[in-house]
Amino acid sequence: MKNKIKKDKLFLYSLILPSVALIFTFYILPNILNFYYSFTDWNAFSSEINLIGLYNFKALMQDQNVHSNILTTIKYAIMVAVIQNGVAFILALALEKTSKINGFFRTLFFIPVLFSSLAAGFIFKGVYAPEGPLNNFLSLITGREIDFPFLASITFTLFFVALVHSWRYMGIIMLVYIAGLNSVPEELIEAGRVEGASFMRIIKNIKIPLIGPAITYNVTTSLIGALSTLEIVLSVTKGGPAGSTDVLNYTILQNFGYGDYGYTVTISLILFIIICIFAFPLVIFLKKREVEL
Amino acid sequence: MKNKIIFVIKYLILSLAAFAIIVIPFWMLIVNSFKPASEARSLSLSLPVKWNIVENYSTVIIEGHLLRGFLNTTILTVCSCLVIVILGSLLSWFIARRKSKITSILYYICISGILIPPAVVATIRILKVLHIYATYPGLILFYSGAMMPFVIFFTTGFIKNIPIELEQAAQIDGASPIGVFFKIIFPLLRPVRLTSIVFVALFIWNDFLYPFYFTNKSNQFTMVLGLYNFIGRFYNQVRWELVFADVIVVSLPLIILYIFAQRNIVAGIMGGATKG
Repeated sequence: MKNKIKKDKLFLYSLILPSVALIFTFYILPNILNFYYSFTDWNAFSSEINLIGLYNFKALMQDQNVHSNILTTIKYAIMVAVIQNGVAFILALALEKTSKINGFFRTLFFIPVLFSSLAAGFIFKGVYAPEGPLNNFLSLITGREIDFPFLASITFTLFFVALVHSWRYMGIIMLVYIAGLNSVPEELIEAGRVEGASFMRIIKNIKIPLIGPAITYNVTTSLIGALSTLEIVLSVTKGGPAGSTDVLNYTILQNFGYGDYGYTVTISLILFIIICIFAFPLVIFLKKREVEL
Repeated sequence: MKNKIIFVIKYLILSLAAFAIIVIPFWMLIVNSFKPASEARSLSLSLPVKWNIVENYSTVIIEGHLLRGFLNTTILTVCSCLVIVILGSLLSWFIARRKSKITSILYYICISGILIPPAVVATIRILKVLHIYATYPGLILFYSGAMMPFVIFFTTGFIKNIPIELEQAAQIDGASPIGVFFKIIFPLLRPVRLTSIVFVALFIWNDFLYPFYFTNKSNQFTMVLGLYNFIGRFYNQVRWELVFADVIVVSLPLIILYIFAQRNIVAGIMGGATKG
């Protein structure tokens, strides 16, 4: 009997081992190695990998390009988080109740989620084109030929790329907000109404505080998703004009192409640290909620 | 009366918004994919004068290697989902039922895993050392490891809400631990399994980054990777009709799936949301 239990236990561990090994090999180990390789001269042209101390970090300190790309990435992420959550929250408020017509609109706004970011980017490269529908529409309503350089402005293009990103993901965020709003007890809202609270007041004082977890989750995941964006920039602008939409993952891609892997890894370490700073509070928060359950 | 006016205004605004941000872009996409090059150049929203459907779509399917890409993407998505769901629910069960330092640390790692992506360039090194770089088993194992945390996160909390008495009863009846898992727990995980599969499959199917770094032969391309390479050929003189036809073919499988499994997909995402 005892032997059987022991055997069962061993069998059980052997079933769990593969998943732990997979998580370790393809999630934890890469991030640890990332630290290690940033101190090396690993590159495409030599089979040897030597430790070179802080060389890559010193180079990084002097790389003005990377500095401005860090700033671009953070600006982009904040724009995406604000637009995406703002639009999705308003849509969720409008489509909160389950009905046929709301279901139809939910489906419509969800469609972009099914497209890959790369495909979404190519669609909007067309929408934003000088001859594209957006410029045509502007020409139509203003009554004169408008040729706004949506994708050729050093100041504005980053914003228009952020719009594409928000468009691609707003459907998921909307559903998360709807799920949150549906979990707000009807009695509370009723009570608010009886007290004579206005529509806006009910949103501000009852709904928003009660869906706090959904807001935290959505804002953090959209920030992190935008920080690690690549495909949308790649398909819409390729980092241009004049590097004004060059985000870190695109910088990494280019440096990878040059073959200097040690330096590439050092840039990705910076991205890793930025993401950690944004992610850390949410990890603690989610774990805490888990304990409360 | 006042309510009725508000109702009408609300849906009028929603329709306008949907028209502007959903209908117009997709109309532009579809209608221009049917036109010959000379017409598509102006990106107009009018119907084609000359319909060029067969030429455009056969060009992208053949020259863009989309059949091969479809097969590759399907293999990648299905295999990864299978590994992730089976191994992931086992590990979740372990974490949910055992309170120890190790399971707690594992759970922390998994939560961070849904937020922090794995370092892609360093992973190449690991794949090369294991001799699975630029192979499909390598990609499938990578996705399994990298996406496993999502499943663990969704599933662990779900299992904690299943009464342990259910398992104890089965144990008394003489079931082995693994029998308990597959007979009692696994069938109960259906809703959360749905959530996991929707998230993982949407991600892998549409992913560009990892196949881009982890493959090096054109016969390994996924549909999205094929799209990127096909369009790279004439990036300077954009052939919109081909770009858009390619975009449509690449996106079509998920759209068809969505039409049939819409309720499940939406339920999957909403289920994950209330958990988060």
